[in-house]
Amino acid sequence: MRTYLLSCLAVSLTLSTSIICETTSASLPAIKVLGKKKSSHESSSLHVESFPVESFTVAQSLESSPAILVRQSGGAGSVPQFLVRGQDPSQTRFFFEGIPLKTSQYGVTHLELLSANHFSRVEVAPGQISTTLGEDGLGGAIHFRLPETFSRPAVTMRTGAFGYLEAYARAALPNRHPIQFAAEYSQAFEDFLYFDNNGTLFNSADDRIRRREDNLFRRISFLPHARFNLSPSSTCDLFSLNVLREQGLPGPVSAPTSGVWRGFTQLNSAIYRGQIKTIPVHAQVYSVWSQDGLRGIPQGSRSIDYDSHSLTLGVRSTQTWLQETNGTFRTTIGGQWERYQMESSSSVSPLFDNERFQLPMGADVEWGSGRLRGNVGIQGHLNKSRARTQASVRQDFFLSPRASVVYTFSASTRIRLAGGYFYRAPSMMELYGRPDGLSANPLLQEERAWKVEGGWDGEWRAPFLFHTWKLSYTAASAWGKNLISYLQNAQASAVAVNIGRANILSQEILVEGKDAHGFSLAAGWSWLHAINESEIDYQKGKELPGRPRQRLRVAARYEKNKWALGYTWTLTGATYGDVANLKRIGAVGDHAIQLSWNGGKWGEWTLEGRNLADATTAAAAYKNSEVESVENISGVSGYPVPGRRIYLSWKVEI
Amino acid sequence: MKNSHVGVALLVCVWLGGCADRGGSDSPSEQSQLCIAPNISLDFSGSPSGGATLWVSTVDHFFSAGALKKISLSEGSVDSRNLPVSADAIVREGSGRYLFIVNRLGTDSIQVVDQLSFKTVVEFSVGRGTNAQDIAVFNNKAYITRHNAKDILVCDLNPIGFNKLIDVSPWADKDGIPEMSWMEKEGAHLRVLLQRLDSTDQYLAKGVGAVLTLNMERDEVEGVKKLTGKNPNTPFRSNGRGQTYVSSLGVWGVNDGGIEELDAGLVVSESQLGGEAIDFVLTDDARGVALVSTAENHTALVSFDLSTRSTEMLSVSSTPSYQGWSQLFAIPGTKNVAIADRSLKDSAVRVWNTAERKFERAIEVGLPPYSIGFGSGS
Repeated sequence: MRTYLLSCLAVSLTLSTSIICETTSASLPAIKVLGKKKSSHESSSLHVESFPVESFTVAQSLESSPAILVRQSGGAGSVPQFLVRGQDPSQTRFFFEGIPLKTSQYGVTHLELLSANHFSRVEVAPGQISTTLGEDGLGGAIHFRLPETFSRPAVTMRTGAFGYLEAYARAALPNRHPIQFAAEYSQAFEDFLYFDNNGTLFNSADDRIRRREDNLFRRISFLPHARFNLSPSSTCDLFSLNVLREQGLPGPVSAPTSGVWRGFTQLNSAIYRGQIKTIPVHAQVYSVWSQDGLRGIPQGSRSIDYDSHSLTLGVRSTQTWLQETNGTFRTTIGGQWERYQMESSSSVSPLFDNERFQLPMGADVEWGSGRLRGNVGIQGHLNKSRARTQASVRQDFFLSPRASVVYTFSASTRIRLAGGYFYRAPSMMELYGRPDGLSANPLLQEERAWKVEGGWDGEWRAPFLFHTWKLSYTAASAWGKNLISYLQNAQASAVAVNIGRANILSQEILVEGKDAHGFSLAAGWSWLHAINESEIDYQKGKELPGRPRQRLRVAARYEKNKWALGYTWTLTGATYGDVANLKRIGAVGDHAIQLSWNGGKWGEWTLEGRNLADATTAAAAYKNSEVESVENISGVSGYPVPGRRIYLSWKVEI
Repeated sequence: MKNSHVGVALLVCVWLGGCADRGGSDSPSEQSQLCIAPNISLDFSGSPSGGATLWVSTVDHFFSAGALKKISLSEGSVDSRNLPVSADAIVREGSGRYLFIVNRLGTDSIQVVDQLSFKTVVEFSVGRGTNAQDIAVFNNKAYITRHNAKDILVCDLNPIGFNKLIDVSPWADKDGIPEMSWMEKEGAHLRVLLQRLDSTDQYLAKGVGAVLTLNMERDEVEGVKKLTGKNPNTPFRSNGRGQTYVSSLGVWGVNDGGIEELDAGLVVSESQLGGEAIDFVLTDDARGVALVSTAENHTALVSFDLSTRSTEMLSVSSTPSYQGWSQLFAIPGTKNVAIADRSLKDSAVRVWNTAERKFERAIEVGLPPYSIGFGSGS
């Protein structure tokens, strides 16, 4: 452990040599609280302060936001996809305490690294990514944050359906420079039952319930976090998230399991919050190192192993040059270098060896007078990508202007308006392809979108039902162009091309109420009108697949003495499963319940039931007269979510 | 071809959940799921009744949803109804009033469509993940080739049920799977095309293909002959002289294939055609037209003469074949050839008049056309 800490300290040396840790900091923005936002920087944020039902997973922590649609197949160990306001998951950027979780090789995010135990809050910015984070993306940002204060030692255990077991412990050494250690082990076997129509939509005679096996999931993570209080107003945080994981790859419905994925990932970071001379600075240096192995991936009659390695080194700093009552001016500059390599047992040469250097820069000005505050910002991004195996180099520069304004009527009511022009750089896989099935397209352009949104937030006391009410309404629109799709271009390959266009209009309403007797209620409703505007005739005017028009989530919680009872109902509306809107996927309802007992020194016990109506079975039972129609929530492999799940959690703080 | 998506599927699946293309024999539990259907009686005898019809399977460019469309040749109209079929389904002339739809990898079933009512009357599985390729009917038995299996599946048709598996793995390439695809019936004999691709290496063509002959009365393999070309990829095409031809694609980007006559070898090479031989049809005993992917990644319609071995480019499309002209179908009783044009912006079934050497008409069928078959039902 000492070695480990030393290595973390070593990482921070790079930073500390260039930063004089002195006085008052530009502290991290406070947790996004509905109706209490002070800054127009955060005007696109929408988050629930305290959703009535406790979150135990990453998916649960995000599904409380009506802007986010969670798609999850498999059980507790499977990695969900998150669609922010109907935008493709690849267009949203995720961060773990400032560290980008995106891989520039694939353009996807490895959320399987994260455990809900390792972050205390999530900042959701569905409209735009702040210039201070220095990343591209059309679908906003989701930022998982470490605790601002070090918590007391605690132990958490959780067990439940599909062999799920989770053990988490954290301990802290409280002194002037506190250190906290957290470790977690989790596993799930997830051999769940699912309805299999044997591929025959017109024949129910061969339908059966089948067991999906080989879905093993194991993860060990270790997160030391140290804070050096360098002065009353400046701190240096060091943390390192180390994740060792093993995961079965279940494969699509029609085929057997696809092997096992084993990997180790380490995210290290040092963050300084303080001042250099009189300039508040928030600076971060980070590294992400990952070593993954895919074993036993079937190809024809044999299996193939893959090994991949990646390293990311990054630095980013935000300086607030002017911080007055009526305005602030801040700039952000950073640099990030990434390299990805992959080999397979069937190929002598590497499948790819790509690297990308990014130089993000941003500036924004915020001003305000009285009730009105505005913000204008611009982000620039210099990208230089290189495919080492193809000796191909490409350089791009992107610009993204954005602006927002907030008008506060009273201490508890405001309206907000924001807009901008955003981009997503093509991933290196899209640019350079892969020898086993994707052609290079060096002419590929970045995806672009104009986005605007407006909303109203209010909080007031009412003489009836609940003593406190909060209400938020947001309407947003995005016009995307140059969207990237994959088209077949030869017998055994596809190519990424910029043929997509889409218009997405969305509305979200969030209501929260609390009374003085322990009863609280929250409801989130979203409406999505995601229309394909591609020039392809049969797609134009059709709904984008997998984007339900309506979604409603209602949660209620009642607390009395040591007991608490929570209930959540989620209704996900019908949608289409294909671009031509031929496959209609029915609406699905999901019920979940939580019963908690706080036994003091005996800890807090929570019994949780999810998907209590068993949407899987209910869907399987539904068939119309002409074509079997199985309504389910399925993921990339086509599996529905497993049926009922029961979990028991125990948490004690020492 | 569905197996052509393997590379792409692997690419996507490697990080997102994996996929698998399994080859081999059906396990006992899987075998119990073959050819199961409700006990209904279908009359597969007799001749089709109704007007001449083109049946077209269509699928979007992402191969996520397919629909069967019906074109009345006599009325020149397209039925507005969509009948759900799998992505990249193959239309095969059926038996009696029924049409067979071969739903390939991911669905792996045979769908029986009533040509008159334009409805599915029954569907049965040929084994999950086996990638059905073609169907031929003889004596109320259906012979089904499956790309990822070692056996030809034989199902009874009246009533529908499992009959037997005929092992053809002795004629496989080194991966143990022969990659069976197209079939052609000649009396009681069935020709089965063996692509013999390397399923362990992205389905590359490493050896020549072969044609297996099956005696359907005894359900026994009578012989196998090797072709001269690698990766034979088109249906068998026969002329009035009893000569049968097939085309080989070989390795993509290399002019190593062409049209060959069974027993006689290569007749028109890819070099003579001017690129990769995508598909071909015969328009009379000695002549035909082929779809060719050129070095510029354009798609050309090329006429060829089997006796003089001469070729002539008739028309060229600037789009790659996978996003443009992808399959041919010689419309019986006419001098016309239907071309499945999967172009991004104006996909259609285009009818080429071989006599007048021009496009006669374009028939829009909603989604891009994929496979074309002929039948009745109008």
